[in-house]
Amino acid sequence: MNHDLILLIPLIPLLGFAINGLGGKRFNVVGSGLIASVAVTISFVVSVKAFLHVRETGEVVSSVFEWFEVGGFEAHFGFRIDQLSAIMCLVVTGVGALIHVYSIGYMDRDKNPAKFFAFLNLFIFAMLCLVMGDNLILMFLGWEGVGLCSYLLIGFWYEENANADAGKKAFIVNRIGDFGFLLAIFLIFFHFGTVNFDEMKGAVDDELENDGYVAGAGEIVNEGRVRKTLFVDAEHEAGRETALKSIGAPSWTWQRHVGLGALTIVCLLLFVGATGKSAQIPLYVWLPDAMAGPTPVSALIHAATMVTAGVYMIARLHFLYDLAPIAQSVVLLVGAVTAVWAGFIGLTQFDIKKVLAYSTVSQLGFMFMAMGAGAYSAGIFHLVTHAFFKALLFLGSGAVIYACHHEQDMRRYGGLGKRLPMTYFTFIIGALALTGIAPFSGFFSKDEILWVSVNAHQFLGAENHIFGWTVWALGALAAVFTACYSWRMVSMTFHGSYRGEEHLPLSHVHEAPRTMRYVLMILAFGAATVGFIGIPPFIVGESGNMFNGFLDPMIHTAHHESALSPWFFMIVTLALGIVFAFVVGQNFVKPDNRITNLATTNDVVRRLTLWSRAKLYVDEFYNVVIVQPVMWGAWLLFAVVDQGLIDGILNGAAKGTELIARAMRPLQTGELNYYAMTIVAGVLVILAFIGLDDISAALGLASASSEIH
Amino acid sequence: MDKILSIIVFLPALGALLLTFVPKARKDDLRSIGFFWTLLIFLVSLYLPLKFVSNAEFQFEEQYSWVDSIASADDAGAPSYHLGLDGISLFLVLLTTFITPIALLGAWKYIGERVKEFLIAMLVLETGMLGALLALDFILFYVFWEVMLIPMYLIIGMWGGPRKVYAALKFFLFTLAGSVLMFLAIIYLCSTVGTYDFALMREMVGAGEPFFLGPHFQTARMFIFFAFVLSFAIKVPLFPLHTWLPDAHVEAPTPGSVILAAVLLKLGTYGLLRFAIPLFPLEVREYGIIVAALAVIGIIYGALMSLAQTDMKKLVAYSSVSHLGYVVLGLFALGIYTGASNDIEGTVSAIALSGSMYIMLGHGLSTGALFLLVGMLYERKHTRLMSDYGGIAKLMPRFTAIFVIVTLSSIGLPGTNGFIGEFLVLLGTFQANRWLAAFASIGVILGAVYMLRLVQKVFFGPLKQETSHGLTDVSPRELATLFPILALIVIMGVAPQPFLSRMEPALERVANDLKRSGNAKVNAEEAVKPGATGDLILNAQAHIAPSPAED
Repeated sequence: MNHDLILLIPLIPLLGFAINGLGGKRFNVVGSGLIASVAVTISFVVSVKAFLHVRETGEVVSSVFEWFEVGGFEAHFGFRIDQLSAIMCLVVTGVGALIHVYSIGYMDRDKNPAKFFAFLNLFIFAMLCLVMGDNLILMFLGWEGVGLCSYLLIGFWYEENANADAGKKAFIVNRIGDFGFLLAIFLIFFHFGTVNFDEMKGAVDDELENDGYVAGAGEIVNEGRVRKTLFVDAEHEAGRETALKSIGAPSWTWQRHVGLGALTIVCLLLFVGATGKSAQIPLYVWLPDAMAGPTPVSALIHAATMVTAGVYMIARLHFLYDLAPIAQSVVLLVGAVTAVWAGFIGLTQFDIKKVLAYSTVSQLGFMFMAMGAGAYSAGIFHLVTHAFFKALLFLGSGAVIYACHHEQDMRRYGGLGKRLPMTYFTFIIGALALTGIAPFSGFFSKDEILWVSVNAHQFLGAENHIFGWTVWALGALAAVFTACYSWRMVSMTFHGSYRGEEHLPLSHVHEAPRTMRYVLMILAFGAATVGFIGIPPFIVGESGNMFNGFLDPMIHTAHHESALSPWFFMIVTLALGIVFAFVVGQNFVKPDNRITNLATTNDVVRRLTLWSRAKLYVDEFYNVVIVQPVMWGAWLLFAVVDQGLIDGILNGAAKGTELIARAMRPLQTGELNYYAMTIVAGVLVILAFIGLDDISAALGLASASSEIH
Repeated sequence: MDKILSIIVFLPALGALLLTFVPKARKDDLRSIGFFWTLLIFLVSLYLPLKFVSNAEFQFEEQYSWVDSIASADDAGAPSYHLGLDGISLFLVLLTTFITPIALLGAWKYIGERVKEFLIAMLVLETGMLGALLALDFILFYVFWEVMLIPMYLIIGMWGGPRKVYAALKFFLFTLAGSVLMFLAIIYLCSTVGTYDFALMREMVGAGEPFFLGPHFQTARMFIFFAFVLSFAIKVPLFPLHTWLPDAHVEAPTPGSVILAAVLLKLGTYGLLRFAIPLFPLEVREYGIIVAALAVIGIIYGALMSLAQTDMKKLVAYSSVSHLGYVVLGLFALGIYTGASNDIEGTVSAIALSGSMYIMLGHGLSTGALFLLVGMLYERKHTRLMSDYGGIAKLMPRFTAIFVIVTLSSIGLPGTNGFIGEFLVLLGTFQANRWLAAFASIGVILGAVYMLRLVQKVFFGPLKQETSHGLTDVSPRELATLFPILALIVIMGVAPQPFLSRMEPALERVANDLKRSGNAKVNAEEAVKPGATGDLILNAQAHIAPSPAED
């Protein structure tokens, strides 16, 4: 295979962007949609070819072009297809192509389809840069690029302030995360002298070997013992030696410079970036608002691909996280808490897309649990299955929204299953996969994550057996929440009787166009079956898990020796899912008043419901604690310091000069007598200054002056 | 073409002279002549990058004796007409010749009265800027520096907005205060060292001339260094000397704002990079942290000020304070490095200095474009308040697209020129002082906040019917004005290497001089230890004719 061929994968969508972007109004929805869809499909075909090549030969395919290079710092347009990026490319271009086709139907009433498809293609390009980049800077280009497209597409219908605001919020919150990412890049360059993944990994491996440790043997390397020469410049090295000599034991001060402490900080800063892009606590707040964008955008960007960038980044840099157990614990914990937190909010939302948004945040939490537990391939596996079933659910919700003339409130749905059989059928499959009911895809991936989390036996670098059980409990609770909100959503939408008669007569509700339905069917097939590529090893043996097997050269999956029975956990989570799905599903097939009416419930439940419905007041909290203080601070600073103090001093000085000048003005009388008098007075003053001695000397009156003395 | 630099410097002035023969009333002819003349100058200046050799030396040099009587008999010491170009000035010269025709084209109709005088002022200004960028003699530099001042003062004061007199006077007095300080410093420095020639003086620093590196002139050096820094910092402008800028920008007519933002401010940072830093390496190390800290404060402060504005032009003006803060931070990055590793030092300076240079160019393009765009809106609606707009993307889709692209450059999105510069400065600074760099990086967040706020308020949201009158999309002339800038924004973001590799040798030379001086300082200190022979001091007294006022 010609290596440069892989350049087509990102470049063809870029070309599509250019055509639709410049062609502008010349294309109608079908024309621009076809251009965009074909572009992504070509990318998909090339990705498949590259994937097969990698699978057969195990060879990494790469192609590099110059970008910039200054003073020992190099960043190039280096694209590569390895096991990890091959999977990501397949997901991005595969699911991406389907969503493009779907959009041709969905956007048929829009005024600017060419613009929409141009942005969508640009997104695919940026996302491919992100996953194919062989260095941090190209990854960052993709990272910011997808953020830009997200901004543009969330605010696509910019005429409503809420949409434009949501786009802006997404961009700014992501920038906060990028701040962490940038600092991580700076720190990595400081310690490694490179930002290229391969070179970084090589450096780490060298270090591990030098110290007699072999990476990947399942051994957690003690912090502070690994790094010796690589990560330190001469000065720090000297400082370390001195410190060691003087105290004879590791101490915080030298560890900060020398030990893997630096690596921990790098990993934590990278994770800050990940919490922004992948919507984790504390930066998840932009994702629910991002649902303001057209639904295909929600499916592609805010469910299947972009939001998983943080997960991908950790998988890409797993060799750093392996050596930073403290950072791993933080990732695991944040993931688990986010999974529960978002699941809890998702329980009570009425907007169908909001439910799915919080569900996405929650599922991303699961992926980060896997990352934190060091089970990178499990996280990527969940990423893949989630891409299918969540895209399916979003597009399904899009079909419902389309059918109901842009109504998104589930209180005005109900009983739509009969009117929209195709949508209903595929949505059920999606919900089964999301809930994790065997044998649908989500079952395998979620089960694997819960299994690895219960086996997490280190907390902040120290042995801790409670930690694994704690995160497992959180994960299980999140899984229960998943079952609840999924089947509440299914029931409110498709079961029971129709509640929206006043707003839209049921007879006006029609199934979506064919293009959209076909896409739903293909995705449903994927959501149902894709899990089989990752059947747990305890059922089919190590070699039976195709997914881990394929990823193995890139990310080695350590075999877990555990005293616990995987079967037990599998059955527990499956049972929980089924029971709660059934109970909740039954409970929400009710007339409308009982869905919203809380009067009959008891006090605790009511309070919890209200909190959940209010999204735990996080937006309000951020507004009071961050947004308002910054805005008011800026205003105050402007009024008090800039206008008041600095300009006050300057204008004061100018005023002072003017006043003095004005005070002096009467001296200029224009009268000759007066001037003559002042000249004489002036001369006298000068003489007085020079001194009488000199005057008398000058006039030859030496004796007189001596008498005076 | 051995007089190419003189030709480029004086072509604008010649154009101004030609314009005096054109009748006042023929406004469009005047505009055409002005525009095509400056365009011609740009084309001529393209000769420079074609023949430029990527090394650290001055090229296309010209030197003629000029005012011999000022100096003593020593020929080399006299002020002379000395021009030269290196990797530092190359792109700034190109930026100047590139942006001037664009400013004239963009403001075709904006200037309706006294067109002739306006064009003459612009052309004289161009000569001043080019001369200041190319002068290698201190007196010559100072002359051109002052030549820039008068036309800009007139442009603001005559063609400006309602508070033009206040703004023009503020601009003039601020800059003049700086100029006076600089002039005193130049006179003292040149008469003490015995030459007015910058290139010679730089050689002397390299050779370890005791005035620059010895321990005995610390006080004098400090005063000269700060005089230079202060006068350049006013021009930059560095916090807290920046308050003339928003006023000048708001009142200045569009082309004046464009030139002011794109080139004039860069002369401040150019001055720091050309004169203050290479000649005073010890002071850069000693006091660099002060300047760098002010730069970082300026980054955050300027961004916050932008956030508090309601007037678009003022917002963009304050954003310049923030962006130029990055430039100054990058210039002084090596000064704040406290460690002793030579490797890191090389990395710091090469990366940070390249970043600074790149921001100078990038900011010139993006902020120049922003002022053009705001001016175009002003021509349509005669208001610059964001609240008077809203939702106009619907009426002006292409204009909006252009504005968003320029915004992306301004907030440093990868793929645009803005990213390369900002990233390199922060990366380089981080290697020297991570806390300062981390603090400065907050500006990356704030930059997005204030620019997106602007975009949101002006272009998005529901279209107010009463605002929509007269809002037409970009005209072909406006598109022709903006397109070259847009193209460069992308080209410089995707293919920065042709630019970087041309400026790098010159910047490396600055960095190496700084580095060597660090070693020289150590040697000098050892030399004056009690008991050691005062070689350096003797040497100094032999070299410097009039003994400086040192105790």
